[in-house]
Amino acid sequence: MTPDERLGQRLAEQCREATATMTFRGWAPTGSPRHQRALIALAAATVLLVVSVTAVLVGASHHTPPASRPPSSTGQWGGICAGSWKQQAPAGTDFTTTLRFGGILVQPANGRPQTPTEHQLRTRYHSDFLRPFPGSQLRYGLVTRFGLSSKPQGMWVLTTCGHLSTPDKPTPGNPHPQDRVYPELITYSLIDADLKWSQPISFQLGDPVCPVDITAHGVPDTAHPSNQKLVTGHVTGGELCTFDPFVGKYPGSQRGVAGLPEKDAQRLATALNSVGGSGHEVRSCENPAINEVDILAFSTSDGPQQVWIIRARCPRFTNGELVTGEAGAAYDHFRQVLNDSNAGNILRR
Amino acid sequence: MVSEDFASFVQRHGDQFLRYAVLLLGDREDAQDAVQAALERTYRRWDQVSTQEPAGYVRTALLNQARDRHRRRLVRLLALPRQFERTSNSEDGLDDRYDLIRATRQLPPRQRAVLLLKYWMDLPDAAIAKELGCSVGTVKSQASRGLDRLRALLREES
Repeated sequence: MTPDERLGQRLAEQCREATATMTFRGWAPTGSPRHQRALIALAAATVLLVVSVTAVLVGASHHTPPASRPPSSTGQWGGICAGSWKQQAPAGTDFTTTLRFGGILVQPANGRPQTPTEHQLRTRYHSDFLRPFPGSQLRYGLVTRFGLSSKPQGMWVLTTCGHLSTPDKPTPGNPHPQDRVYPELITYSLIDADLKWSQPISFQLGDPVCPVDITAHGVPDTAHPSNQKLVTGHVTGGELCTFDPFVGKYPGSQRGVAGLPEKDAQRLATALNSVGGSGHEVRSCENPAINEVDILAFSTSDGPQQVWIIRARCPRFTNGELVTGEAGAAYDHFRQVLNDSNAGNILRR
Repeated sequence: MVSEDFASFVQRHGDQFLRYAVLLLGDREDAQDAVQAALERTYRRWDQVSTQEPAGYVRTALLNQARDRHRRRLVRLLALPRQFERTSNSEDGLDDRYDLIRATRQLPPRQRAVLLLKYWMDLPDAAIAKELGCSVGTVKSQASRGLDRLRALLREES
């Protein structure tokens, strides 16, 4: 008997033994109340399935991945997303590089005590019978949430790369559809000091995740040359925005930048240019087709390089009601950041 | 009015369907409902099904339900804690001795079905292939991969 046959036989014995006393309690052609409830639940689940799959597909099509994006397996994001959700992730409990994840900027904690401890965190989710996927990574860092707070907070960030989707319905041409995986998708959750979890947020890798080196001093960022020219030129207003740090590097990846009224953008540019050095640019534009608005400023002065990134949202999803408020909040946030660098005085004139 | 044929078919195979469903779905109550639904479906098509392989038809319906459930479980995982999988296995109510059965729960439904049909029901590969709508080669490879995975899971547990 081969090892396979032996194992198969053992499985058969267990199946026979485990089910020996089970008897079918009868069949009713009209369906029991429990079955009817199950049908209702099935219908609800089907709706959820359709909504979820649609959301995934819409999300995927909305953030069309740049054609020339480097594979995530290169691990260029400090080891994050070096593998998919189902591959065992390398160990790592701290961020070692500064990364921008969509609406947050994560910086290394530089030895700051972890609150809560990793042990407390793992105990918590084990008690909830949860286990991160093998490819999930838990790292501690200083998190700045654009538009919410200008102060970085120590937080755990749970990242999972890739995305397991539900398979298609079988069709004659594809009778056995497989689960689909979006390897370029990253999901993150933030865990604060009180063990509160944020909702998981997903987005495409490569576009909103942008390696940012804010400590390099006069060293060209040869790995990401586009970072060198985040801010150049002069203020323009009202144009359709195509500015993006990845434009040129990743054809097809274009995002709107800025969201300030032109008047404020000019003042901001003046402020930035007065901080030192030259070659600052703030772009101001409003494009209703763009649902996210970023304000990026990049100082290339003789001092340490500084990157400020602020995110606001455009009218598309707010019906125009919150445009002023949100753009204003972003502007306030920017001003707060500038306060820290003494540039805010100029802005307030 | 339920035909005599169908009633005796249910009486003859009912227990086996329930056991198969329990092993596929991992939950006795769900299995009971799944068998009920599969039999309803079979009953509506009894004129056509009865002339072919009705037991296989019911088992296929059960497998489809197991796949739907598997899918729904994924949706649930994706909808809320998308970065976690559940680790509790208290819901299956299985004795700890049945390590292999428990391990089969981690296989995809079709692979699980291949192992159950091949080793527990002792069906020939050709019959399994016909029931699952695939080739004999696929049945063999699925069985082999399934057993390899079971071994790996048992190693992990120990």
